[in-house]
Amino acid sequence: MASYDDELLEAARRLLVRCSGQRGKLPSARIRRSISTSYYALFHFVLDEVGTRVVGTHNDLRRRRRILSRTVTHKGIKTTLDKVRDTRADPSIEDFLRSPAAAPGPVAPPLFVRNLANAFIDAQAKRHDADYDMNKPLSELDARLLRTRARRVIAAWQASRTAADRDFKHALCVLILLKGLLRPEV
Amino acid sequence: MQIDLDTLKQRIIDATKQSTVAARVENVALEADRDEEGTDFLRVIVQVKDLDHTVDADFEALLEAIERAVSAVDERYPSVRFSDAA
Repeated sequence: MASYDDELLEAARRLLVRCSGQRGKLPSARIRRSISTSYYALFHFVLDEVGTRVVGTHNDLRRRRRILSRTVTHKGIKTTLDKVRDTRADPSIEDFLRSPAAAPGPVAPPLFVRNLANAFIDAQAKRHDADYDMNKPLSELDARLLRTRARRVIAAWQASRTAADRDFKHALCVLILLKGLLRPEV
Repeated sequence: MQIDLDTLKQRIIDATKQSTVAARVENVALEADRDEEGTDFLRVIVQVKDLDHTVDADFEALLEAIERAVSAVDERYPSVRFSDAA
């Protein structure tokens, strides 16, 4: 069975498909809806990851996962991912992200995490313009590239399964629940 | 760290010049903005000739090259978009 993020990415693709013989520019609404849908595919993928890594994967726990997902915010995901989008994690969360076996020092987020973080932040900025600011140009190419990027980063995340990868994912999902902040901001 | 937009724009232009689609890039526009949560970001608009006939992989590579070029010197996230120069 396809996951919800898969279904959304398929919907984003279908919005950009031309009927046979159709030429010229696609209607702006389809381009913008596709961009928004690709963003939501990433958003729901992250929700699923938080739910399964924090609550568990068993079918009986689905309701609990969904209740937990309702506490996750767009801003909280972005704040968290912004701290791991570079080659070095934000110092405020390094200690939390560091693997128990690792030596003290800077923490380098794995590439699959950095790629997901950058794709999410990019998608959120584009989705905001797509949904709320018609003065900001967005092209069919933008929509295609965003969808491709979302699909690729999700696949890379899913393919990363070493013990260190799983540990990093788990810590990151907990941080997302904490909205990226280990202490309340003053 | 945030650096001035003229310097950033030049870095972006340099990245486009090294790409396989350099000949199709007509102009680059750069805007600093702040999202609804108060985070500063950059909107990079690359104007491309004949946008309807593109190879996605070439522009994907350019998008990533621009992201790298900006992120190396500036903390703001560069959201790269491609628009039709026509």
